[in-house]
Amino acid sequence: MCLIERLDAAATISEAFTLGQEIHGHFVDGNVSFHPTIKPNRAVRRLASNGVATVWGQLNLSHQDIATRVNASCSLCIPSNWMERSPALRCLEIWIRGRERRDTRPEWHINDDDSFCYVLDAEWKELLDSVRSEHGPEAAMTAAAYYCINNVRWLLFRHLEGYRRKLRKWPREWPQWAHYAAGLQDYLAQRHRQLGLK
Amino acid sequence: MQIPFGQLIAFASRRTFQEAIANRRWEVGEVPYSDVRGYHLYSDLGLRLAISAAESDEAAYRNLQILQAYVSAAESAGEVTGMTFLEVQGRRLHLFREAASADDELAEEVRRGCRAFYELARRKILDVAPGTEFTIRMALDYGRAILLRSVGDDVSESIVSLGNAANRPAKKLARDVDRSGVPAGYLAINETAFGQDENQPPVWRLVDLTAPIVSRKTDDLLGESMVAFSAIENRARPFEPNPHNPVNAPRKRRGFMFRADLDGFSSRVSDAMSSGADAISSLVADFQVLMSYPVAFKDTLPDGVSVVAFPWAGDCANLLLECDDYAVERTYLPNRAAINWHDQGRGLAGNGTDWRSRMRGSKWLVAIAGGEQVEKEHGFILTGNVLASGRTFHVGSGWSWQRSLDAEQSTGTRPEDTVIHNEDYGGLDEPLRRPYSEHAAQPALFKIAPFDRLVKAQRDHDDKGRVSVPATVPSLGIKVNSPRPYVSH
Repeated sequence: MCLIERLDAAATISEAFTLGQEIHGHFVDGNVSFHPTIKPNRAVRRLASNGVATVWGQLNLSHQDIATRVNASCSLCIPSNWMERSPALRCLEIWIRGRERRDTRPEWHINDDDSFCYVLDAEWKELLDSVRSEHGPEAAMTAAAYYCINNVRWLLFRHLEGYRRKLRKWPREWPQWAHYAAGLQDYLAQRHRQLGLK
Repeated sequence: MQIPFGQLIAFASRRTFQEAIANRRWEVGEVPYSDVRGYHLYSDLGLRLAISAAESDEAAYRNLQILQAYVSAAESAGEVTGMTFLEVQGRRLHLFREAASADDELAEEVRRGCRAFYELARRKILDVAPGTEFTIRMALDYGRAILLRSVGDDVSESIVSLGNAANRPAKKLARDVDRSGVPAGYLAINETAFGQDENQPPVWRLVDLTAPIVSRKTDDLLGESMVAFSAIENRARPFEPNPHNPVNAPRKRRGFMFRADLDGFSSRVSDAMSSGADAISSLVADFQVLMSYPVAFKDTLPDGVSVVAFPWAGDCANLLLECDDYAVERTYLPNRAAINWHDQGRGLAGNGTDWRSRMRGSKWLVAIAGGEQVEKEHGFILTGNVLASGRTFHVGSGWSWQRSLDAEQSTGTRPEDTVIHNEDYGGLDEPLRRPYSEHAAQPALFKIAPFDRLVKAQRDHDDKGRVSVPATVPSLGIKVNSPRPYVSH
């Protein structure tokens, strides 16, 4: 690796650290750990994702105009390529729905590795690229932290509601993307329509 | 099927009843009940709230020891005066003596028995917990009642009583002293019922139980009761796990005490009593089904909430909603549980049983108390089994036990109301507090909400959950997309 590449890599990691601090600022109580050289092996794949920093602690779930006293104990692992991939969310609260069975996890937006899919990465990337190009890298980090936390709160609160109401399935009236490749296609088709492309 | 009172008491023991079924002396589908006249004695033990709240494990354990001493004293005095336990509701006891008519001599004997019980309980409680401050209040009535076995998930071997003679003393004891309640150390006797007119409004006469015993007969009763107490004390080892003890006791549990009173059912009982045997049978059949209502109710609650059943107190169900995560449940459970309980009464949910038709126009009053999150004594109930007359009674003790009882017995409530403690109101998420207003009679303690307002607040809350809107990053004024989750792998 040449010096410029190493400087680029260091800058990327430094940005991920800063994003970790930004996200941590939204937590009620918690901490940030930095682990730029640790790569989780298969054994811990369900506990940790590839990333350079992890924020963990108590996140209050108030969002939009929903006020709640509930704090969720959760973690967000920030990848070095955070502009392309959203931080990996994990939450082990007892009220998380669908986790116990492999076939019910997708219903509640839980991936195979127990991380949560609270945002479509293509949508994440497009928004952050746009903010970065218009407002600069610092604004992109602040927006990324806010975007991430807003979506995390929204999703975890629906899990909480599902628990409170004993819901087995994700209600039809709660917005979601179609699962897997279909969701990405839907998103791209929507963007094409919005941009007036054929 | 109607049976003599003595047989009903024998059937209160689960083992005896199961044996009768196994030996084909009783049909499984038949509901045993007694339609019987007699003396109903209620006794309330009042402990200083710090002790009753069981703020430490030691105090909690002591609390149950006091309770057992009190119950054993009642059993001892009951043995020598012919009074039998119907219910042990924590610190409230209900004893009964069958009598076809209100006989002056018998009434006097029961009264002397109350005096002996008071004195024995006072001495034995002080033996267990020297220096403890407590009060005992009693109320005695005479009349007709329908008695049946407590069934459902409750492990107690309790007898439920329906009828004015069984209700009136409980209501009298629930009143504040400054609102015609019974002062500490007194027995209230319903004079009209003793005067052979059991259906007339009660007129209560107070008897001082604290006055020195001067009657030789009472003194003899006390002596005999003390002998009986020693024998009972040797038999009962109530706080050790034992073969007669179906749950491990004592247990400290965290959750909400939930009481649901079937408002308007008393008038149906009165109507049935004046209508004849068929009406009584129909009433008993309906009530037997309603006693399984908590079993259906528990299926409507979230997975992290389990239901611990205590004996019915007349037409009032008593449950502990035990919570895996009390902090989370405080934010919504009082409303959710109240709605589910009231709503199921309409036959909209549950296991297909048409509860509403069984209720025949009666409606529930729900009272809930849990307590504050960080206060040490709040949110905890100590449960245990008390032994009396060879039967097991599952009882509870603690701050929320008492406060939920106060809420249920508070005045100024209407059918389908939900009464919660102010501490629990404070724990709710803000939008779920909106249905509540101040409790007119006890604003310092409780909030109250009608069912339709609880439902509306819940619907508004649910509607908000459907919404996903773009948000603006405050420091930048930049909009981010509305949340919409996905599944990638």
